[in-house]
Amino acid sequence: MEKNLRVKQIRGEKTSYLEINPEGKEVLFFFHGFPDDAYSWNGLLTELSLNYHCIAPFARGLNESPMKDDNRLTLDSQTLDFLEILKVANAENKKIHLISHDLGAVAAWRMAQVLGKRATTLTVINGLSLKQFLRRLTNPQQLVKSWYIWLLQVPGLMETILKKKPNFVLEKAAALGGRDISTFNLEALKGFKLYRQYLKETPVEIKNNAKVKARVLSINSLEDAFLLPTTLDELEKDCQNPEARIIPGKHWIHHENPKVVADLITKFIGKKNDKSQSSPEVGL
Amino acid sequence: MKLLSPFDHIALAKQLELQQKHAWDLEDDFPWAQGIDLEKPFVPLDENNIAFPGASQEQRIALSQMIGLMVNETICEMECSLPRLKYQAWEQHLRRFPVNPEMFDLGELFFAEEEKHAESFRRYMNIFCDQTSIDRKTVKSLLPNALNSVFQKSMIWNAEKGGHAFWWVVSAVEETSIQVFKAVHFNKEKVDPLFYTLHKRHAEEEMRHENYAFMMLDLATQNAPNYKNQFFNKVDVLLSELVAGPWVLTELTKIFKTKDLAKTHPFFATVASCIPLFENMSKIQLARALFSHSPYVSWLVNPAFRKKQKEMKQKHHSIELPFSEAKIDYQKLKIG
Repeated sequence: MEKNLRVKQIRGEKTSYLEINPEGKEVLFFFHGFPDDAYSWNGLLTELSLNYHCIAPFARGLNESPMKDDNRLTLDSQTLDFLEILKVANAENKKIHLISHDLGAVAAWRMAQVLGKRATTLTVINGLSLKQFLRRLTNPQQLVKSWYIWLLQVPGLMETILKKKPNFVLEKAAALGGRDISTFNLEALKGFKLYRQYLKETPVEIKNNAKVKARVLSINSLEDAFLLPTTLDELEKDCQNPEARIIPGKHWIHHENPKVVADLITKFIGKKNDKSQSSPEVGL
Repeated sequence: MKLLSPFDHIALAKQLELQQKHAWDLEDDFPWAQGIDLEKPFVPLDENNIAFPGASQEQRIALSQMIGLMVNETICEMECSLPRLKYQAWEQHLRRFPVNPEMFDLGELFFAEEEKHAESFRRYMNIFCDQTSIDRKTVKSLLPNALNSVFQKSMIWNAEKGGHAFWWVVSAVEETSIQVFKAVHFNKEKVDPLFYTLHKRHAEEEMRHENYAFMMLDLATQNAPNYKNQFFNKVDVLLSELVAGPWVLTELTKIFKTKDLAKTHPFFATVASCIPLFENMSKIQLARALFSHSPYVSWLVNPAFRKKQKEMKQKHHSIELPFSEAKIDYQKLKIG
């Protein structure tokens, strides 16, 4: 995958992303979660890059995307970076499909809001928008599952852990998320700052009622240790006619079973834009 | 029955295709025009004629027809209750736990098929009334009615609170309706041909879609494991058995009303003439007969006759009533 690494100047900062099959007619734009980086999409990229132009940016602070200034972590700033990457990759006039996992879903939902009709589909794998997460703050089960988010807010705690016992977080994530620890990159832990940033943005985000115009596919794992399955009621507050699926597996389902996830995405992307529910025929 | 996983969207899509491909048509696939052969019985009876031992040949035919109508109406009433509970017991659950669109599509088809089945039973009843010149309302007053019953209200209450008792009832009725067809099939040549076709067609589609209720029950065990879900998983089956059985038995007692109608029609007169045979049985004999070895009635009220629910009950860790196993001997159900 290293040969697909691109490092470009984006809005005055070095920014890295993976890019495969630039000739593809439609773009798949990936948003990774925490503690992950763009290489976490390897399985899906292998499955999907034959037919699509795939772009997978690294979160700021990872790989060769330095984070000199915390302001580059805001949702708005990240969105501007992503839009610029689309332009640099000559992808802005293609059909755009957004694919996200975990924390990456926050940025993906925002990107979908900003792109409006330019985004054809948004796929969310075990993730939530910031607004959806805020709505869940009254759900005790979700509050318990999100224990790590609260810990990451404690000033200095994560910094200390990163210095003294960096593997601790990855061991926990691997055990709970059902993923081989060797597939994690220690550097990806730096992405924890996004949790703090997003929480800071909640007062503004709570007033954000923009609906996503893209078709939305939500994929949830049955045994996700960090999230309850997204309900249709939750999704319909933010988009129209969403498609939701729950599949057997754990949090990193795209690692566990990339083929199944790729098939679901391909099928969803390939569907025609008319989402009128196909009513089953019955000989009445 | 082939139990599918509700998470296997490929198998579900195939199942949907299969059901759509083989669905029967209410107009084209029934010989409605040939009418009902009123000389023939509808369902085979056991040696006790359900609970009317010693009935004459003429009484047996009338009883068989009356029981046949009751069986039809019980299934029809259960199927008519489905749309009333569609949102609370089905859509609400799937929206909270949206497993996949295929499960929604199969569910829509399931409810549409059930409506079609109810319509076929209604049509049979209408033909019976037309041919016998019996007033529809009068016959209806003798047959089971679920609307606003304690049974229906309990199902609605349970579904609104997040329970799945409804799907236990559905799975019970589906299994019983297939058992009814098997009983009729063993006496194919002797029963009314239209009644036979009605149950054959009904059983065909029931067999194809009966796994849907089990998939909904399966999903109930997969949903977020909170105390409420665990509680309902344990008690739903018990609730379904405790309300459905008494409802069936209470509705059966409507047959006594034929005494007041004996003078209005010879059919009612013959059925009413059987009542003393029923009253001759001691209460203990009667209870034992209705619960343990009366075809159709026992199959519905006694959970021991339902084999297919067994595995799912274990999965739910359900509280079960302690009944010994029961088996249907179709050979004992005869006509003539």
